[in-house]
Amino acid sequence: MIPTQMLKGVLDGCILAVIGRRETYGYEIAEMLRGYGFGRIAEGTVYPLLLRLERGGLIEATYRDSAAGPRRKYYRLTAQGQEALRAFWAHYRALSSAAEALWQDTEGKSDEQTH
Amino acid sequence: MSKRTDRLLKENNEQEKRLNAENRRVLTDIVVYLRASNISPWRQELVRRDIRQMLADGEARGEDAAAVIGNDYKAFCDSVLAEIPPMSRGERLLGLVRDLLLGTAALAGVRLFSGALSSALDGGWPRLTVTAGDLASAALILAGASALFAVIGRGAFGGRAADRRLFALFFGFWLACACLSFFLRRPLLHVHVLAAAAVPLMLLAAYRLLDRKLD
Repeated sequence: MIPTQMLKGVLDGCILAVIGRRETYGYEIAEMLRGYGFGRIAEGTVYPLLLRLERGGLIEATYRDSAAGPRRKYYRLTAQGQEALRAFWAHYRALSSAAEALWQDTEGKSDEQTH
Repeated sequence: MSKRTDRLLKENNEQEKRLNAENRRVLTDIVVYLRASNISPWRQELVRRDIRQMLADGEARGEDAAAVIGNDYKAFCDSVLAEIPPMSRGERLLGLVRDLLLGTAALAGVRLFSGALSSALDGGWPRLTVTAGDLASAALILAGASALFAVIGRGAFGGRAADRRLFALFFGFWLACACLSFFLRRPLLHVHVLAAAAVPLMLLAAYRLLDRKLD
């Protein structure tokens, strides 16, 4: 399970990425994240982040009747959100390759020595 | 409140009845907490609608409120409130004035009724006597009502300890008001009953006017 503190830094960007795939709603976002291996994230954790993204103009919401029954709030990316998503991936990949390089240089080497 | 807020409030009240008893209880606590927060009534109703729909969706899936929101409802509310723009100082001030207008109109109405009754019995009709105690206890009641509202809101998830604090506060204010009315009997002014009747009506009209302007 990914520690909450570690998750916090990337969850906004990951939610943007999920919404970028297709228009979707809170519970579905939490389920899709779980499907990608982020662990169980309550809809109550996702909701405040959606409010933040909406407030920042990165996503916009519309209320619609859902196929399954009750009206739901569906979110989609705005042009500003698409830009923010591209920036998120660029930053994430830079962070990821830096952490990977560090791991290779420290933990990776010690792993090789033990084998 | 504005028409759009009023419409959404009614829709939320109506739809909330469809939730099961436990979800209704949780949502009531959340709404009480939101009411005491520094966000506008319109935004309170928007958040209330979102949370109600989250709970309704969860209920349809067979999940309880804790599974949908998480175990700490207060932390959830705080994280939601942190993402909503707070009211400006001007909006807060106007909201306070609006609430005071309504409270004062209600108190003036009650005082008018009791004053008219005692004036008729004492033979002073059609003039009413306003004492220093009347004004002081009215001010205390308004201050007490604001304090109670804040305590109820902050203690929404507090359980029995919050209930006891609330009872103590309520009793304290009641006692203080009774003492003020009893000891401060010096007449300040005598007014005609028709002039006195205009006061709550004017306050109510001012309240309505301001309430429609505010979200």
